[in-house]
Amino acid sequence: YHCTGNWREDHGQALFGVAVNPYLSDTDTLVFATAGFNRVTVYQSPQQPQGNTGSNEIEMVQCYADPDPDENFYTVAWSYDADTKKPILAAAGVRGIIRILSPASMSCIRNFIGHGNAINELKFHPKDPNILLSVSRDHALRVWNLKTEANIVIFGGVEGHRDEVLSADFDMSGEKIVSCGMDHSLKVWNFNTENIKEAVKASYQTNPNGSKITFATVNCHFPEFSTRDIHRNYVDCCRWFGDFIISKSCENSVICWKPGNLDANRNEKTTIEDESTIIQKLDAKDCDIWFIRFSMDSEEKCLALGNRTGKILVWDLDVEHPSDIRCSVLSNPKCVSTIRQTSMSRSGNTIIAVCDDATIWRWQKN
Amino acid sequence: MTEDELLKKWRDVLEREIVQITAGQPKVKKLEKSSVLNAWQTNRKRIESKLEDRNMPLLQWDVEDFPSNNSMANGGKTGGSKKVKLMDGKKVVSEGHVMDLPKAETCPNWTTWIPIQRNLMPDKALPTNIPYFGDEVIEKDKNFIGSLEEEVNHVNIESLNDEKFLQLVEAVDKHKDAKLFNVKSEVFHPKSKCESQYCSESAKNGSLPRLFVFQVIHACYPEYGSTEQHINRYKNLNKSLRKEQFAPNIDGPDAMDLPAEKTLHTFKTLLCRRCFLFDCPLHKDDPPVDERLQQPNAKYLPLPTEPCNSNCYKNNNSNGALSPRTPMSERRKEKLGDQKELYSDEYKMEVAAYLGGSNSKLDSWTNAEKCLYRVLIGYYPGNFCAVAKILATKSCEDVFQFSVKEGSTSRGEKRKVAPKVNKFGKSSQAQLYKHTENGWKENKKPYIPCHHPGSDCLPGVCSCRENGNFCEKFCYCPISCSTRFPGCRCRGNCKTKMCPCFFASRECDPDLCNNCLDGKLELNPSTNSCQNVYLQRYLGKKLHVAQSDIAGMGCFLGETAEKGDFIAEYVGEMINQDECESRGRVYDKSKMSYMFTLNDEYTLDAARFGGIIRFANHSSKPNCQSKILLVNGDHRIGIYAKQKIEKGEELFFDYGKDFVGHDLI
Repeated sequence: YHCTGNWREDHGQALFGVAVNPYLSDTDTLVFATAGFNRVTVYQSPQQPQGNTGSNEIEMVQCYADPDPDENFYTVAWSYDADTKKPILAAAGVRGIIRILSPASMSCIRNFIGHGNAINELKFHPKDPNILLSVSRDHALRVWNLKTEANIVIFGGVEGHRDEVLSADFDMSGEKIVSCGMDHSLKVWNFNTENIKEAVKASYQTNPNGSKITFATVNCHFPEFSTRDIHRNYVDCCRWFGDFIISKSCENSVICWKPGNLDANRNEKTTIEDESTIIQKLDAKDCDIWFIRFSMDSEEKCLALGNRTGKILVWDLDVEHPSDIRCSVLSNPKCVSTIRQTSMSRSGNTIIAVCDDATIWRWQKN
Repeated sequence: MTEDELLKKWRDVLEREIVQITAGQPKVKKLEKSSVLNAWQTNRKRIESKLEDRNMPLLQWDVEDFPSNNSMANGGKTGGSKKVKLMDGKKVVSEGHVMDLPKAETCPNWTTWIPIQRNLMPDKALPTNIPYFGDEVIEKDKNFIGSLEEEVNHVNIESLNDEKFLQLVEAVDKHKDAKLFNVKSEVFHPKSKCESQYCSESAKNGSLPRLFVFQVIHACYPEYGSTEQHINRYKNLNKSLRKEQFAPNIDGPDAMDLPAEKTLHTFKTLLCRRCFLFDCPLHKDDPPVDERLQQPNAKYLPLPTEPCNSNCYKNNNSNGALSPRTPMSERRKEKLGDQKELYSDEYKMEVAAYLGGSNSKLDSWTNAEKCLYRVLIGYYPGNFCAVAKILATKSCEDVFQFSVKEGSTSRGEKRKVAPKVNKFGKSSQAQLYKHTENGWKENKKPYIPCHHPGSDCLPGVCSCRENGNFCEKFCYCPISCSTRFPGCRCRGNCKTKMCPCFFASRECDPDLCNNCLDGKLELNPSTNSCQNVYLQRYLGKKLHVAQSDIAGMGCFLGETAEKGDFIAEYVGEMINQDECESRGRVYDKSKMSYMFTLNDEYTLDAARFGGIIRFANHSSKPNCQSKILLVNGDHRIGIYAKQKIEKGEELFFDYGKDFVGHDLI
């Protein structure tokens, strides 16, 4: 990779979230959104021909700002309208309101209010672009239906997280959710129970304005699996990697592990008492503060993680044996601030990183 | 290695083990290289197949479709006049107008909580983490964070219960690091007679842990007890472990052949005598007492004399001597003959499979059936028809034959309970009650059923007397015990100090207060029925949570309440003083507290588990007040209306000194 540009947003505040639109081909133009301060900004930048380091083109397409100066956006996620195929952008932050933005009409089409505190991450369902997952400081996860504003499920409670939930991810089939948080724990929630499937179905039928009957949100108090044995501190990022889970804490490492028995079939149920298996521990230098999130390309072959000193660590996961995983470090002498999040383009050719000093960095595969 | 170093090393080892034991064994496996390889490659294949399955759509980003920032600004539609810039060094790369998002109100901050109806005792020693209070607190309050860290990582050997103590001994015994066994060291020499005795014992018996285990525990944690104490503790535990019957299997093909007492063992140990619940979440601390309560002489219904159906054993003449037999009229016989069998064949098969019988062998008795029979015959002595009905797989004839083999328990031999001698009687109980400070009694100590067989409830013997409590119906002392609370004999509504129950801050007890509650399950406020039972019957008012007019969330009344009406019970986790202190410090920092002092030992914390009333805010001129009542042996907090409250009003009560923490939620 080589650095093909860096820019700074004029507010100078920390940028916490970045997301490249994964539904667009990145061969000609790259579209990404950043979150930080009270702003969500959409950029587009033409894709450079390989090896071209000279051009530095980028265009700010749209910028949304919350009227409340206390707002601080932490996270953004892309989806699309199932009918019109127009892009949709979701953003949320410290005030706990999820903003659903439609760049096509340049407007905020919906607000989801319900979380009792800040929202730390947003994720869309991999198969249904209307299903949105949010995780919050209020110790719970919520799933929403974009079409009808219904809050389908709340994950949390008796066996739920006992402190802020920091990150969560749908697996590729959209049947399971992994979540992690400040209580050092990682939990796997089943999103494919009969109960929830019915609620998802019902959520499409509910009419937010028409009827007085509110939608009966499902409360799920019990995860399918839970562990505190992987990390010994705040777990601030987790992603599915096939049947494995990759997660990190502020302990200078990224850990690839599997809930339950290693050779257990996927359909075999894991229970809360089950043990987990650590596949590989990847060392990550200067990753000792929390709220730093990594990303993977859409084919899950590559993982990119920023660190406290402004370097990006890239691991190639497409190897024969996990012990063959090698790390390459991307560094630029001018990039010295903490990288909060990275985002990889659909093909994995471009990495966008955002920093504490409001800078945006673009790296291009050689 | 010097002795100090050695001890330090051992201390580390012990600390690690204790942390592991208290936190539960970490369930992480390390793996062989080949199996990892296999799993890794399978996983990659799975990703590929799922990728195909997912088939992420590729959409078009048609830039022309988007209104540019400038045109929006010109249109004036959004009102966004502020310009934002993207810089490259000092050069402006791109700029545009901001689109202002519509204003949106947030709801007040709150954290996920779990609604419960009654108090519960949390599982002890839950692993915790250090909460994040914001960078400011971390910077300014290093001591506070440091002390929290210490607490979170604190190794508390005192908290090891018997089971965990055994785990620790075993874990330490397994240590094989030769460096840690400096035989020359003073530490490992048997120092007392007991120690050397144990040394020779363990040398003979390989299954016993070596002496050094106990020495090391003592050397590292001197305050925890002497080596001798550890040895004795271990020996006792080991003995009781061996003695203890593990929960026997009583159904399925592997069932054991057990007497009734053992069959019911699990049920008995799990049943809470105070709540009639299995695995009760509140009275976990009550010591199990392996003793039958004095039972009133059971009155059994008369045995049915008629045969239960045409095949009933009572029709069998050969049994005639044993059972009363009435000749059956032909008509009745006919009627019975027409009667369908009680259970279908499929159902019988199903039950038989559960009881471990195979389909073909319905005639022989499986162990599960035997167990069930022995339990049932205790409740239906002599009534074989009833037992057969419940068993489903056996006819009453079978049951009868089996009972002959077993040596039947007939009604006559059934428990002979000696007639009670009422030593004191109600009047003298009442007298004692009168002597307790005019009947008023501050009951601040939690109640634990007393158990001291063979002696009366006297000071120094009885735990209730020691704590200044009355004996309750759950005590193991005789019903005639003089320190039992006698209950009230009111005919009124028990809402004034005239009622001794009300006066003593107790709710009326349906087992004691015969006049006000006798048979009156329906409470009717308009008549003179007891109104001092609202807590135990969960007769609270309708409540709503909404944004408070004062701060954060508030609790609002959903129906009108008169002065003195019961509003709701303040429920939560019942935690002890230590836990209360450590939680309290965290709550104070985060400026949220839901703790309420219950009695001298326990505090209720409604932060994670609670009821809607937890949202009620503090006020110095409140419209509600709290009262701590003793309800069937448990202290509970009731919130009552201090004045008439209209529907829709917000509820407040004075947190006062009982409320731990500060004055605003």
